[in-house]
Amino acid sequence: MDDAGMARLGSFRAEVGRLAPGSHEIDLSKASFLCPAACAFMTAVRDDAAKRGVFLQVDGARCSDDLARHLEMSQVIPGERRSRTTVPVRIFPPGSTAFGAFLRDEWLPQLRDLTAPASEYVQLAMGEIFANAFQHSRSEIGVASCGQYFAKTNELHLTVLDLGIGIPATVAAGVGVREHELDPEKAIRWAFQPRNSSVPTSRGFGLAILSKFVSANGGGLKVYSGRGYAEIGALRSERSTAYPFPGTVVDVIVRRVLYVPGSKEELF
Amino acid sequence: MRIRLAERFGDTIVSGEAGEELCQEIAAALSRKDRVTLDFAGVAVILSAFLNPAIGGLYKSLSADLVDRAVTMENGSKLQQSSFDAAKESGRQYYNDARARTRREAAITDLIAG
Repeated sequence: MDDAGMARLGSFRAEVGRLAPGSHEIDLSKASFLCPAACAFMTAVRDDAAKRGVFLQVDGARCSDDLARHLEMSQVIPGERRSRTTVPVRIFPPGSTAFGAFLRDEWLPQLRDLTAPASEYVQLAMGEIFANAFQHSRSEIGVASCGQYFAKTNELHLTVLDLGIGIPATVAAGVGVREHELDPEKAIRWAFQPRNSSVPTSRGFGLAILSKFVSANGGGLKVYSGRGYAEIGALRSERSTAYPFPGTVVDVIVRRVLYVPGSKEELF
Repeated sequence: MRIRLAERFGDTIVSGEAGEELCQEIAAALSRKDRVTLDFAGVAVILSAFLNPAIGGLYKSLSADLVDRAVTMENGSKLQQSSFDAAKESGRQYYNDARARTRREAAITDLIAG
């Protein structure tokens, strides 16, 4: 997941937006791999396009064998092949609460040696990503998600994606200015600060809880949202991007969970 | 009054709208001089999107002292207790603490000023 890849996904969505109703094929014959964000994005864009009569299909027979297998295991294309380490793409429509069961029953069991409090903490932190997307993004298709487990490093990845207005636009609307009047870098940094929220009933806990979870447990987090980018890991940084991503994509890496907060002060 | 959250909302509680509805129900109970206990038994995950309007929202129309004293929780995990306490504290600050309001407004002013 990098700026160039995100820009290509943005171009892809724009191109799909110009297609006339009917059936169209996505040509992946020259692609060698699709990252989880791209798999989730393609599925979300396909579902979104279908609402206006544009039906997109990937012909697995025209892809390389490796890519076709990967797309099938991710359920981007139909097929029977599955992997114990790939959590297929799922779309959760607006208002859905099924992501709780998805996290608990499909995604989290991949990670070894979790205590009950650690498991609960992971579900809380990851659940906040979904809740944030549902509450703020205005994404018409809802939220797409998928995951991947790497056994050698005991690393579990989660991708959560929406096709909404993006964090910078959400922050701008919340503080009463136009999006172009806010620096995306500052907007996304602001959104990750505890107690900063663009919605009166919210308190700015969601992203702050996630942020604390990642930094306290040695995980990693990347967010592309509109023209904003944030990364939390060994170092923390935010910046603007040259091309806007049409929505928000959050990519989280969970490696181990040694820290679980014991009080309200330790949540953020 | 005891409210069994899992029976009412399931084991994964995430909805802000459900939180707002519960807030009204608790406020009505408090106005009848009832005490309210939220029973977390069977709740696997409860998010701030629900707790903030459900619990923090009470401070909008009721005295902080009343909410602090009369709304409690039982059978929750340590993490759920932390989330419950955080929702209470933020609601108290948001609606009753002028300094917190000033800090919030200053943060927005800084953001807009660039």
